[in-house]
Amino acid sequence: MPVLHPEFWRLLSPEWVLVCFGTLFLLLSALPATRGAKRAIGVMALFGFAVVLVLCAQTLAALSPGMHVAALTGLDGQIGLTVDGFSQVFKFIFVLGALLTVLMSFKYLDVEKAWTGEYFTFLTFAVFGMMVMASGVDLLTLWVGLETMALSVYVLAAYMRRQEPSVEGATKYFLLGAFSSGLYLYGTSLIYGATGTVQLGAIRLALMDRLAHGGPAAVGFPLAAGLVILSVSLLFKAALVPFHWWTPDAYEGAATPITAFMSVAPKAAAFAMLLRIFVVGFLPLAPMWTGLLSLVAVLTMAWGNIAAMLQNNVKRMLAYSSIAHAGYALVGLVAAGRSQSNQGIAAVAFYLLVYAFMNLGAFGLVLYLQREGSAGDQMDDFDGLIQRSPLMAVLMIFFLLSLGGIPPMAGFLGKLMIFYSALDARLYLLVVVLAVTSVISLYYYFRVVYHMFLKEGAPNLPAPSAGRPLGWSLALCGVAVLAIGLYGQPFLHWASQAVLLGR
Amino acid sequence: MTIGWILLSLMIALCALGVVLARSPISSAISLLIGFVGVAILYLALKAEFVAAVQILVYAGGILVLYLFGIMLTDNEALRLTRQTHLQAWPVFVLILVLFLAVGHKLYHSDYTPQQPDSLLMVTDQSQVQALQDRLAQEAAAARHATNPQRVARVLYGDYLYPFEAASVLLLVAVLGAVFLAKKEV
Repeated sequence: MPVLHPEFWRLLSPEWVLVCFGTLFLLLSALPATRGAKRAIGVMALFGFAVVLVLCAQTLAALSPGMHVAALTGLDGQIGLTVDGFSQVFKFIFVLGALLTVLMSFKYLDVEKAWTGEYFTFLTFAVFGMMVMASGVDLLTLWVGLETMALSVYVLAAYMRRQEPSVEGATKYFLLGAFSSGLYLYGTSLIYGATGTVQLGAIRLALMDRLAHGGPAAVGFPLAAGLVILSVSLLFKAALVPFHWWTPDAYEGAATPITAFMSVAPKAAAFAMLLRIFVVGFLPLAPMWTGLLSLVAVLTMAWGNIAAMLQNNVKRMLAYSSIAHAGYALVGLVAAGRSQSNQGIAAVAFYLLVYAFMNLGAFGLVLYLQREGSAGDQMDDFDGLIQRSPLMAVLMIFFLLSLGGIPPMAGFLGKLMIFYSALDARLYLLVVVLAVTSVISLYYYFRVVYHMFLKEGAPNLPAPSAGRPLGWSLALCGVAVLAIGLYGQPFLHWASQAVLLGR
Repeated sequence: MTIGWILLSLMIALCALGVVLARSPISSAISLLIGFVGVAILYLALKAEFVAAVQILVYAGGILVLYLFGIMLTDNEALRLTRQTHLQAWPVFVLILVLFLAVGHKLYHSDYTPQQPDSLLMVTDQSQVQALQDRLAQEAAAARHATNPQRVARVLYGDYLYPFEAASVLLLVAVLGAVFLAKKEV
């Protein structure tokens, strides 16, 4: 039994430690307690995610140069999951996103007086689901992870259940999400019917066998249709055009720290799953799915950026901008399918890391402007911020420049890596669209800058307060965005460890 | 036998349509029940007796009863009134059909050039493939002698042990989420 192997427990330590913490928060939140005690759960969540972050880094460092450990390969379907460089790099990104989210939640929960232990429980279990999504090597294990994450995030999106927008956005998200989960299973059943297996490695062998013996015609309609249906459900989870309609409403309605979380971690998890399924399981069919995904990438980059220009609500604007950023990352995925090198996957991992810092930072500024009775998410809330709190205005400029992909910020380096990987794979059309839409995106990012610098704020408005945890998280994001941009080498090296087992 | 398959599949598909299209929620629930039984027969025909029994017990016996309770406790008239007829439904349906055909066409006529197998093979060692095939054959042989529940157990607690354990977290989250959202006080 591989399960009883001590190596198993060591390699899966991020998962089981996280589940232990989640259960602990659950039990604690059942105790009748004051707000101070609920806050203590938040502090514990901070500690828990920090521990798991260290464990993720440790397990990544412990991997052999082959990037996986035999006891856990799961390639022949031993237990349906694997621990490879890829999974550990992505787990690190998820936990990092959750850690920053917890830091940012303190002010929001204080102002809204909405402290509960469940908030952190769901956050913890959502991250557990993401970890399964990054590690799973068969379609069913991946589905269990996907659902665990999705259910937790539905609840978190509806967390402010007295506020109508929150409930409305969460309901849309839930209905469409449930439908897309059904689609995933339908696609899986078609693939199972065609190949007789749900394990990605075996699917790949079956595909290669068919292509070698019968040529393209032997792939068959059920298998191809299954792949398309499967990808639709994953594109929905990653909020890519044309499956993005739930995003603006869900993002605008949800509590701001949850919006920040949703735009970073579940998106990264969906990309981990997309990469694993397409680049390991369906690589022999790459000519087919790279075509489809290229189309989606073009639509996503174009529509995400154009729609973002029209928004007056900063949360909604950032929602559309997050759609556009998913489009950039998708270019890396297409590149990974087209070329033999690992560059595309590393570029996606690096981009998602950078994106986590800069996007969480931008949402952090919205949280900074939040005060009693106002979410701080209107463009006008940013008016004259440079006079009220110059430091925060400068930080916001860092994040916006980075999101827009302007050098010396980290976002520039991230886009550059995607750019290189796409050039390497000769995806010239995607490269052009990426460049043009990046320029378009500057328009709406600079609108915020315009509001901060050139507009007069309302008189007598007090300077907003950050509170210490939010201040730390903003400082951390700002330093990271600048540091990765100025000295990216170690981070690029780190991302290049994201090697998919079996690729 | 083939006729039987087709009839059964048609029956299940019709019941599924009935669930969506029926005007009264009770008729929906009854169609669902017949659909569940149809699926159970399908499992029986596939010699998965255990799964068929579970299907009847859990879905037809448990979940459907819960649905009926739910329908009893909600306002039927309100449900009937909210029935919507969308004018845009037909154009959208046509659009979807066109897209589906376009994608299907593309799938049949794309140019697959199989890449070099050994650069792609995840198990570069041919002996590993052999070992995998041997193991699978061995398991198949063992499975022929096992009873139906034993085979299910072997898959569930062997190959799928990890997702099985992860599913317990999934169910915990589902229960918690339902309770949390239905609670009065935050």
